[in-house]
Amino acid sequence: MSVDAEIRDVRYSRYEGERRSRLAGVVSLARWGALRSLGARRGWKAKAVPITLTLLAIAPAIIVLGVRALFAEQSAIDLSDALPYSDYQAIIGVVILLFAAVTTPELLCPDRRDGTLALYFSTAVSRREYLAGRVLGAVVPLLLVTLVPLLVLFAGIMVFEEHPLGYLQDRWAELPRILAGGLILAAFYGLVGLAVASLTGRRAFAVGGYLLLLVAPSVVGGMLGEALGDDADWTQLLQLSVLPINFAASLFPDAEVPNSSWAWAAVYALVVGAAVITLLRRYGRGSDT
Amino acid sequence: MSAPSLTFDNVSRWYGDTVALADVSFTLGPGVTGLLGHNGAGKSTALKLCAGFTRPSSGTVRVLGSDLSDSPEAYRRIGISHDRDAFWPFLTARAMVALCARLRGVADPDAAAARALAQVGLEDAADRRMRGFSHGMRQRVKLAQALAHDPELLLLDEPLNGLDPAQRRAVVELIHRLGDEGRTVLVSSHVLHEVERMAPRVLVLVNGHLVASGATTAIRELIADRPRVIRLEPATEGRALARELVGAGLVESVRFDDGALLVESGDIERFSRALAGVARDVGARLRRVEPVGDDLESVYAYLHERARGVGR
Amino acid sequence: MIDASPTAPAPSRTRLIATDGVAKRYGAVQALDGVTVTIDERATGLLGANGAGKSTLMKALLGLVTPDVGTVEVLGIDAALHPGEIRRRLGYMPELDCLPLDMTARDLVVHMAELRGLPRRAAVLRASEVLFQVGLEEERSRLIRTFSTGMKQRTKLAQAIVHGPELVVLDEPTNGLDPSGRDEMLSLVRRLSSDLGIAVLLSSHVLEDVTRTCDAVVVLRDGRLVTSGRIDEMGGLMGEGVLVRGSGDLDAFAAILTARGLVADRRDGGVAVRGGAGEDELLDAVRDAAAEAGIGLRELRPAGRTLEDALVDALE
Repeated sequence: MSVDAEIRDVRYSRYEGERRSRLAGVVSLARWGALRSLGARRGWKAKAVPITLTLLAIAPAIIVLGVRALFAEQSAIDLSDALPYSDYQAIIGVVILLFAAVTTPELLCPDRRDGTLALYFSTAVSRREYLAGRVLGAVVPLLLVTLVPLLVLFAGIMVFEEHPLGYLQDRWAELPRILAGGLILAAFYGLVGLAVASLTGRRAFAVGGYLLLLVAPSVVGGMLGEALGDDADWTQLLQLSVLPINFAASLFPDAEVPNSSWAWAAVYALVVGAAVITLLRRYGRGSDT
Repeated sequence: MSAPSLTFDNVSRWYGDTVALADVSFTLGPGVTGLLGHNGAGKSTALKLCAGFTRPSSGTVRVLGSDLSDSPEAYRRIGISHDRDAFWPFLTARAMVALCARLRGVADPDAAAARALAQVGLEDAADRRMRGFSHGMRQRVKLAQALAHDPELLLLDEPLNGLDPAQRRAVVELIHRLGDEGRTVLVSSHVLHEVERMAPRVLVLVNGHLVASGATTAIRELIADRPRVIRLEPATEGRALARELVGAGLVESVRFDDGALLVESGDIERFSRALAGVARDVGARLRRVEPVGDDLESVYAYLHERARGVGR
Repeated sequence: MIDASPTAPAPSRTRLIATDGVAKRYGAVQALDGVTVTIDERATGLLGANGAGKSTLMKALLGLVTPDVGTVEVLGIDAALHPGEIRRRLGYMPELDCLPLDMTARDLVVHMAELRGLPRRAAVLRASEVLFQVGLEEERSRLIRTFSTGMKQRTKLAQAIVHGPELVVLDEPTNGLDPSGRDEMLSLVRRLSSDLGIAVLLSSHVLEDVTRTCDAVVVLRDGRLVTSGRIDEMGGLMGEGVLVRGSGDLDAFAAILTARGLVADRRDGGVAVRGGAGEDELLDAVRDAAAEAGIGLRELRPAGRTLEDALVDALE
């Protein structure tokens, strides 16, 4: 006899499906961290700052392209030299700094303050995986202000050229340069920001500490440079707030930058190295509060 | 009753738009009373009012016969153990308790501290700095400093928090003793079967209102609209016993539960008087007779539910 | 010992946890001293005084602490070899506050599921299911910051079971809960092992939590195993007679029993009766005497140690 009805048991059951690798966990940490830092689920105020900063970072590109679009016939602007990439990054240096200051604390401070580190480390992720995920979650959003604006500029110039594909063929080598520059900046500002954030559970302290750490030496370096005159190019190495910008510029000479690439590389490695060591120590065993 | 230790007279307390307590009246005398209620029912507010940390928005609170704001020396006769941690990590337990005793004008603070620490089982750890103390140890220090000045009135907020089973039992017995000594003890706790062991009387708060007060057993008797449930474990002739009880009209319903009988009776006295005889007549051997729902936990749940009316 | 790869399904076995001679010392304190125990019941309670080694044992089971001596095997995995895998497979509900306040309950549970290897779609589905199981379906889109203690505890439980673990470890799950919250949480915990097929290891200082939800207990004292076994085989024995409480002429009742050769004392608000050739004779005599004396028989139970007494004695 056939049955005319059916009752289904929808209750909880054991999970028998696919299980992904540990890398997927790292990506999850990156993703949720990045979302939180950009203001997800925290109301419009938290989103406003990163969005504004991103728009500010892209603004110069838009302006240059806008001028080109509107006034190209009148003036003979060669767009490709209108805004060299290193100059661009130098102009928006402050924006990049602020972006990192505002987003990196969100990746580490709340977890420390809320005790969530204990939850992560006693359940599903190792300390290294947590760090890797958060670093990824810091660096990738930073690319919004260190890389995307330059790509917008490149793409815009290409569009306005008479032969876009020709332009691309001639200038394709600029793309790796843009990418490298973007990563060098993102890595620096992101790691230093995370290192400072790892020292405290309070976001306000992290933001303030980060700005202080990068701006104070820059001010000192600037003053020393003024005082000591033209021979003291080395004082520029102290200007931590723009260090990666100068480093990237020294690697891809489309602008005059004092001091050799090696000097810049050395200071860069020193600062980034110190940041990484700080992070490893703050997330080693026994420092979860 | 001799002058009551604590009187609330139509006390209400609100904070802005939130009503913490609404028209609460009761009197407390010597002995241990449990203060029960869900989170947010007004227990902490009530304790703060008793301790004099705040004043009622309306109504009067009289502690040990006086209004605390008028006679601050009454504070010396009150011992308080709060929920919150308030201690200095660099002090030893002994120093902390002695300090509190001295502040309350005890003649020999060190001796008082030693006695109090012994009562809570911290004699061995008395000279260690509190920085390294576990939650349970800090809890007992709080209790000790509440006892050191030999107060008449004790206000204890979750004193068993963080204690392991043996320590809990010890503190339950301590509180029981304190009540026997004639002190007035008001204990707030969520673990009802422990409250039952220390406190013969309770105050039950629901959503800022006092819904019941008095001896637990008496409250139970007052809840007339619920039939009593009794669990019987007949070793033999269970079905025969059930049949007889129903047939004689002694019970309103019978349910079988894993070899035991759960019966409901509207007239508990009549039922209990007839039970042994009926069992003997059918040859049922009774292993166990247990009233279900008479314990504090069930009484509380019933009061809570009834206060809510038709709820979720 | 089974070698666990990250994507293999959990092999089935009856042994959930097995330790062998586990010892761990911290400076001058021997936190664990040769603990050998096998846990295979559906719901087991872990009891011990503060400082008895309970938290060290739990950390060892989670692979967070390496014992100086001995082996720990959880769900067939050696904690020394693959501690991370154990933590991934188990569910764990920590005691202290650990939830990120700026996430919603649903986001947190999805995230924790992803961290344990579930693909996003499965994570979202199961998070929704599990939040319903613990009674948070209405509150799941709210930030955890706005939650009461009860809701936070349930969220912690939800994240512990979202990935369908074979075993979940609960550390003081009723902490801070009011009486109805305690009641609900204990019912939920009981359902985990009875309905949802998840084995439970419950650590609590409140004995009622354990007696209400567990089938077996493991008791530690001073770093050693004092007792382990099924609850229904412990405590509450008839050896010491019965206690009778009731209304009416209890003295007459006692007198009848004494005349029969039994020992009957007024005690604890009733009459404690001992003696007789055996349990059967004792019970029959009590019943008949009650009928004869016409007392109202309100309560009849074993007079000896309760399970709780037995456990507390074991702890000290």
